[in-house]
Amino acid sequence: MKIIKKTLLTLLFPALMFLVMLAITASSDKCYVNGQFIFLQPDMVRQVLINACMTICVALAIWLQLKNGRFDFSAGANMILSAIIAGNVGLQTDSPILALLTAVAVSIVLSCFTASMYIFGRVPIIITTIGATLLFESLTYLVYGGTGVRAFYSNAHLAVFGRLPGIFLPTGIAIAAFVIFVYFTTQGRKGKILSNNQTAGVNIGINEKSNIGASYIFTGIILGMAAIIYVSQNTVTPQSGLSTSGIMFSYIVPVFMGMFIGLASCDVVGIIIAAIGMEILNYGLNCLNLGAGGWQQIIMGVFVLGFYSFSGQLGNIQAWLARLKKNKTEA
Amino acid sequence: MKKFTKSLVALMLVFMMALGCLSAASAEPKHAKIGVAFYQDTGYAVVATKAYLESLSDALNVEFVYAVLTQTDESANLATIQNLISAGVDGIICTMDLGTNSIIEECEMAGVYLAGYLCDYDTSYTQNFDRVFKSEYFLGTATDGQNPDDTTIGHTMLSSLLEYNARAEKPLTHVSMAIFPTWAFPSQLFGAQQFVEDVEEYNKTAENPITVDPLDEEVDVLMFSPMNTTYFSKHPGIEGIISFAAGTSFVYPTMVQAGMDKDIRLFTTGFEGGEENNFGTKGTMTFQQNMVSAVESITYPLVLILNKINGVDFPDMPETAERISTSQFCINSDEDLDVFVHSIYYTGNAADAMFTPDQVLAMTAFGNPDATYAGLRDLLAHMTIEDIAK
Amino acid sequence: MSTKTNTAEKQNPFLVFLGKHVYDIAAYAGLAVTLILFLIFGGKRLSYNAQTVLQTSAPTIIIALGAVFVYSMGYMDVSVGQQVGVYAILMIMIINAVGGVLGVVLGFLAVLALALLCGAFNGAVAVWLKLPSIVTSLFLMFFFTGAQLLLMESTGTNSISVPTSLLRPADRDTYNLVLIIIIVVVTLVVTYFSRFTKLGKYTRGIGANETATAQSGVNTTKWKVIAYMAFGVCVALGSYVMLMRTGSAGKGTGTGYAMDIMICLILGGMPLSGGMKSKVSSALVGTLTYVLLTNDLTTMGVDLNMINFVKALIFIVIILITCRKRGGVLPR
Repeated sequence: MKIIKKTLLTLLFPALMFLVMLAITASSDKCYVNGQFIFLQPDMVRQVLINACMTICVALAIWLQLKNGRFDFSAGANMILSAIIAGNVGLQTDSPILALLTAVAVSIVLSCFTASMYIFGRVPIIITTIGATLLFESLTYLVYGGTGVRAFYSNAHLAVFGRLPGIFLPTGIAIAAFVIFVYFTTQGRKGKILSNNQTAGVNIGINEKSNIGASYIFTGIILGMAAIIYVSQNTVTPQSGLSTSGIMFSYIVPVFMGMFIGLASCDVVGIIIAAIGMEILNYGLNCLNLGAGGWQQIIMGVFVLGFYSFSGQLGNIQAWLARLKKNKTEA
Repeated sequence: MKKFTKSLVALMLVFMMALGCLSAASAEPKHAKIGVAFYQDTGYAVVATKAYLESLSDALNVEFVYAVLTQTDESANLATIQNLISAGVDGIICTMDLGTNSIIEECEMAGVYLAGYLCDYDTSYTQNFDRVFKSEYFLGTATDGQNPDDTTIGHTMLSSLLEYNARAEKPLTHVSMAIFPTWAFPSQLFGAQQFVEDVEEYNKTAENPITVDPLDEEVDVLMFSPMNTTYFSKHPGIEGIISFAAGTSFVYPTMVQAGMDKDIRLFTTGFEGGEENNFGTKGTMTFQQNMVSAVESITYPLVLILNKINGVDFPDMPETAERISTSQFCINSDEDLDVFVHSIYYTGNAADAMFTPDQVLAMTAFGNPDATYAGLRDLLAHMTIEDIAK
Repeated sequence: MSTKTNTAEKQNPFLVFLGKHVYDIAAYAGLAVTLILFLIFGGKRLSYNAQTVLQTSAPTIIIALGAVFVYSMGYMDVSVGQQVGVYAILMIMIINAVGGVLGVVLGFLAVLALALLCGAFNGAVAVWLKLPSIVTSLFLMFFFTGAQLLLMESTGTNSISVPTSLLRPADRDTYNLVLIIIIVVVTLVVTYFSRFTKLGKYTRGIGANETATAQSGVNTTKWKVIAYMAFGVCVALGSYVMLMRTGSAGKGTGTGYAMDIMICLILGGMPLSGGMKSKVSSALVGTLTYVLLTNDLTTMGVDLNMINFVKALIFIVIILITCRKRGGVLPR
């Protein structure tokens, strides 16, 4: 019974999102072309799945560090640099598997570099990762003559990990890496202690440095998966001026929402569900021609604030409901 | 006939340049430092332009400094121009009309000449003509293709479409369009209207009439971000897209993501690399036409700036600065592509440029007393894909 | 305790001073190096370069000075770039609609009121709704990005403008003098409020330990709101100073300011966690270092593709010296 309740609560968000968008799009002329309703098309499932896979990978990478008390600014730059190198290796070798392995290897190396800079530099994590971001972004201009990677996504054979059903492989690996580290390794559990009380954790003998190292290796694996999906779907150009943080921020909303939705189950499920819900919202906005431009930004902002306000007040709402129930029983 | 006329003009000019080379052999140009402010920092056009300019360095006694402008922030662009002036440049070639009022003011104060490349300077042309185009320090601009008042891209697009239909087993009879906002590229809206009018005219006598979906302001106007995946739901049944919005990355990735790249043919401006794998009869055959501006058109602003620095003007130099339309290579077939891949735009190799350094020197007023403004303008307006093959 | 004191007393006073001020020295050394490079490579256009640096850095310095109050509390505002963009567009629209000096005054006052409102929103709503301050700032970022796009779409052009003669003195020297005066006045005012009033004391206290500050009887909500509103004043003023430069604004005006300000403050030695080590000088030193560095790299003719790499390396070296924490757990 409890499992059913949890499942229903978890699925509530995307279901609600779907129903709300269905109602809004159904009432708009813009969503009918030649008399056909364009929201309920097979294309919706396809787009939601493809976009959600990418979102899940980046969101998990951000969340893995965030739940350990570290906000890693460099995740976007790491992903872009890995994608450029992996894409070019893929083009040179004509092998998507080699591209995937390169993405993971490069991403792990970059993650370990960030971790080392943090551990040995002893500089606050945000500042460290801003430094790493600037460095990784600058390297995007120096590798492969600063041309980025353009032709990878257009080759169906190479871009298999950016399309259905191939996209499920990197997404599955990213989810597995997250679950294994967080729930099935000692370092994952130690990380939880450190995030709750860093000083106490260190005092009871947890080696913070090795814990950070391990968490960054797993983050590297997840970001490598995000990189291979990204390069399989997009032209990847060199970036500068912390613009990669913008790419990262575009995937951050499901992280925060996933934390909340995950209360009914666990964080990884919360993030997956949040990503799907957000992509349904985006698809609906696209149908309404609000998928880009000013109104999309404002709707997104209101959504973020509203969602946070609701989750921030959840305790009060629960207490109020409990009081209401108690009063009724007494009456 | 048209091609013959173009070739004749080109031949005459090359002959005049060759004469000029001989007479200019002894002239030693003054040393100049030119700043080149690109609208983006990477890509084929940037690499090729740099290679072309560097190849001219010795012959013209000029040194180049590069910078990157933003496409949206006037203040940042002014700072970039100020930094170039700080670096001691004598002239600046600028690829963006954003914050031009303050930029021209800065140039006037520092005594630095300004000229445009790959930009129609339409905002300045229509709103601040006196301030910018009549300034002593603004020398003119070479547009990325045609000026808004000189648009022919609609005709070119239909011609490419009909050329494809003539050779294709299944001709395209239903197409849609994509453009950038009018406030940024008015010529694209004119081009789209021209295309629709041409199609209507063609349909009067056509065996297979072509349906063009009318421009939907909310769907077909790309706000400098990739096309939305719902584009295909909103244009059901299309077989081709005519994209005036330069840069395949605004349209093609969305086609791939939506799984439409095998079913829909794309006619577009802007070559970004990778298109060759799916062009004509290759790969998914998505690309059937591609239009690219010749990087050699930077010769126009360069020559005008160098003339000023050397204190010699063309005898027919117009009193007010002009914006000139420049040639675009139109790649319509596998054969055209085979030629195009030998251009400097594709190879990034200065040896593949259409003009040698001596020929460029002969285009200048200080390097060739016979050189004229009209000659320079006409030459740059008549570069065709056939010229690459030569 | 006494042993430690004795050891310190026995040490060379110069070394003690060096150890105490190593972060400040590193920040100033960074500025000194960029200044030396500026003098060497400025060449024949040194005076022009100095004007360029002044004009480029003025808006950033003013906004960064205001940001000191927010960063002192350990918070940040990611919406500042979009706010600057919208404020610039609004000022132009109002000036064009009303015209003349009255338009300029009304435009600035309208923007100032909006900036104060945003400051209050950032400070108060986060507390009332129990939200991390980054969320309200994220909301404002989304909101202002959208507003900027919609405002520009309504104009149907890429860029809107007013004559700069309405905004600043036509004479260059007078304009530069006005900029210097504005910077000096804002620096003095911010320094005064930061060092000699409750605002500075409490914002640093909130950054050091918010719970302890609240338990000592300070109304932290009130001071958060005041700090954000003070920042708002500087954002409005900075937007005006930025507008003085070009007289025009568009869809991307202000882009990158949030990150630039963060980088400038870090380069100036400001701890992002806030607290007692927060100082006003970070804004000045950091911004000048950052602007001079960009100018130096261009005048030195560093390859376009290498500029970002060199900047990143310099940033990393400076933060490794200025932001390094000794002992204890790793800083977050």
